Amino acid sequence: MTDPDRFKDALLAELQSLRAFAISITGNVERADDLVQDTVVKAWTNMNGYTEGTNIRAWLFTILRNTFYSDFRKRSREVEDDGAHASRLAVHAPQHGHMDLEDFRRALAQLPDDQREALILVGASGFSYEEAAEICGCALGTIKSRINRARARLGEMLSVTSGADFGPDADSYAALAGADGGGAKTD
Amino acid sequence: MDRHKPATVVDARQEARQTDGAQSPAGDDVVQQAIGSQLRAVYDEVVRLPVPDRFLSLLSSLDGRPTLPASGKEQES
Repeated sequence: MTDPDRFKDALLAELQSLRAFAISITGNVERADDLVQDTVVKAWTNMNGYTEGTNIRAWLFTILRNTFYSDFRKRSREVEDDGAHASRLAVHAPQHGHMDLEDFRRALAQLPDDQREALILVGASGFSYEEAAEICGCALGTIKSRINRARARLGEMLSVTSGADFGPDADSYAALAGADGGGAKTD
Repeated sequence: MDRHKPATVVDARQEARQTDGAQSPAGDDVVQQAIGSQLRAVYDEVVRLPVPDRFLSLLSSLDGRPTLPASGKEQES
C-alpha cells in the first residue's frame, strides 16, 4: 500500500520533469499542461500500482506517454494533419533560451518522433536504455537503434549547418515562441 | 576561454579535424559529445521552467482517497 503523503511529495518533485517530457512530445505548452494534469490524476488514482522503491519517474513517464498516445494524439489528429503536427514537435525554447542552441533545436525538431523521444529519455532525462524501452513499450534493441539513428542524423544535419540558414523549416520557430507565451506565466 | 555555452557540432568537428587530420571514429566521438551536451542544455532549459500554480493547487486538492476520474475531458480550456 502506497503512503499517500509520500506519494504526493514524490509527484511534486517530479512535476518539472513530467512537464518537460510532456512539452517535448506535444510541442505545445498548453497541451503539455493538460497532459501533465491528466497524468497526475491518473497516477494518484492508481497509486497502488506503483511499487515503492522503484523508479517513480519512469512509472510516471510511462503513464504520461500512454495517455498521450491513447487520448491526446487522437484529439490532435482531428484538428491538424500529421505533417503540421510533426514539425511542431520540438522541445520549446523559453523566451530567455540560448540563441546559439537554436540550430540544435531545429535539428531536433526534424527527427522522427520515436527517435527524438528515445534520445531525450536516455540522453537528457537520464534513463537507462532498459528503462527507456519499458517506458516506450518496445524492445531494448529498438531503443538502441532509434538512438543511434537519431545521433547519426543530428550529426549530419548539424555538421553542414552554421548560422541562420536552416532550410524551409526556419519559420516554424516563430510559431513555437508565440505558442510558448500563452503557457507558463513568467515575469 | 569562455565556456558558458556548449560547443556546437561544427566546432567539435573542426577541433576533431585538427587533432585527427581526417574523419575518424575519434572525431565522431567528439561530435557525439557535442550533441550530448547541446541536447542536455536544450532540455534543461525546459525542465527549469517554473511549474504553473494550477499543479500545486491540483496536488493540494488530492486527498487520501483517490476517487477522481482518470480523464480530464471536462477541463477544456
